[in-house]
Amino acid sequence: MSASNVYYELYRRSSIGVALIDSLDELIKDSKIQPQLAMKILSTFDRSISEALAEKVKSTRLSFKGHLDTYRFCDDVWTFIILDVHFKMEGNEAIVADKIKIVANNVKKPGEQ
Amino acid sequence: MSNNIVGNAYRDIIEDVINSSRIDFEDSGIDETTLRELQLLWQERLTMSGVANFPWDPEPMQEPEPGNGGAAVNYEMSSPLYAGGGVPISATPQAFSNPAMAAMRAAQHIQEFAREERVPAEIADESIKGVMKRAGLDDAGDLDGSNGGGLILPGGGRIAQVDGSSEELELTRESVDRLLKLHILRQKSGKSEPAANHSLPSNITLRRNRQSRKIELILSQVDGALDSSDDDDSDDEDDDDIANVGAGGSSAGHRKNNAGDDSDAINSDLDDPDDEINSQDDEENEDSGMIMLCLYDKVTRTKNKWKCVLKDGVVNVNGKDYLFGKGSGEYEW
Repeated sequence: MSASNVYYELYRRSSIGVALIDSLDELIKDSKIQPQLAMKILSTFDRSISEALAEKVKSTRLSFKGHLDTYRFCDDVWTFIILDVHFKMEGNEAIVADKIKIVANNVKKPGEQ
Repeated sequence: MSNNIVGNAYRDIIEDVINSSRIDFEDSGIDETTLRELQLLWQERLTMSGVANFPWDPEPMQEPEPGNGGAAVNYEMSSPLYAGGGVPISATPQAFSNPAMAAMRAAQHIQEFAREERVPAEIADESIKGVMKRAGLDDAGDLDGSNGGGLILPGGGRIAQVDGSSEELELTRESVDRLLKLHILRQKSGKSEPAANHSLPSNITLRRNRQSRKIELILSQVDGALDSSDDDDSDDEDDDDIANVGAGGSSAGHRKNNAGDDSDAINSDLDDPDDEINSQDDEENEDSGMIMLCLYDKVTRTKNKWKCVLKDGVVNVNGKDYLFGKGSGEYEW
């Protein structure tokens, strides 16, 4: 079973990932499930959200401009902190934010050529 | 508007994860209802986060907690009456070697529960009496060999047995009542902290037998209070040192305040700037979200101009979630 290694765990930090982790924590605290089962569910989530993003929102675009405050490249992960960000979503919806942190993993997964 | 697709996309992900996990649940011997509960909890939390409108929002949520709480109360109420409070006691025989102690604990526990769950006092009292009756009998049975009091009626006839037991009951009830009142007073006087502490051992025993959310809450509150008090004591030098050793990230702000401090250990020159950035980032992330999680295809830089090509992103901006398949960014440093 190499499946658990194929998908990034990056998206666990998203709203939906955090909501899942909190729910699993609650079930573990109530001793309704074992932590091992929770780990399995989380790797299922890794796969599911990666596939969903790759397949279902493939055509959705987003662009942004801003002022780069911090950049970091470590362990093949880029981290940017951008200030005064102007997002342009699909349908010309514009959003302005003071600050955003970007955490980006390589499209090519480790071991992939 | 990529926020509109979030609700359906998240619903698909949840359904996929739940359906794919069914077999894992079966393998672990976990009931299907728990899987369903996971789904409800998950959806509920997402709704509360307010990051998007979700397809499940309009329909009323089935809240699993009241059902469990009710069951817990019933259990609690019925077990002392039927089994004389024997369930928690027999679960840990070593801990309650003295039956009177065990009865006290059980009674105290019932009272606490009655208070928490707002069970009518009479019913709770009945339960306590049941516990005491049982414990009193056992207690007397052990002691009466030396006492030679009312219980061992040598006459031993059918009537005498009944009389003896009831007489003996009244005796113990008096002493037990005194103890009970003492306990009640103690609980009333030191309501919050001591009560929680007193109840901890019995709570834990109980939790093994059934699910009790209340108790979980008590426990986690204690944790939370400790954590926050640690964080808040920013001027304390000891804390600062501990934080430096434990988690460098959170201490950078404090260290800046104590600039005159001679805590310049070997690593501090290198660590300080990084720590400061880290701590700022992490604090802001936890407070406001404002994070984009994605994959990068290309990141290029010419002088101070950066460009990046991103894919498959989840963005949280201003409390809302957005998804994108392709993203691009331009920014100057």
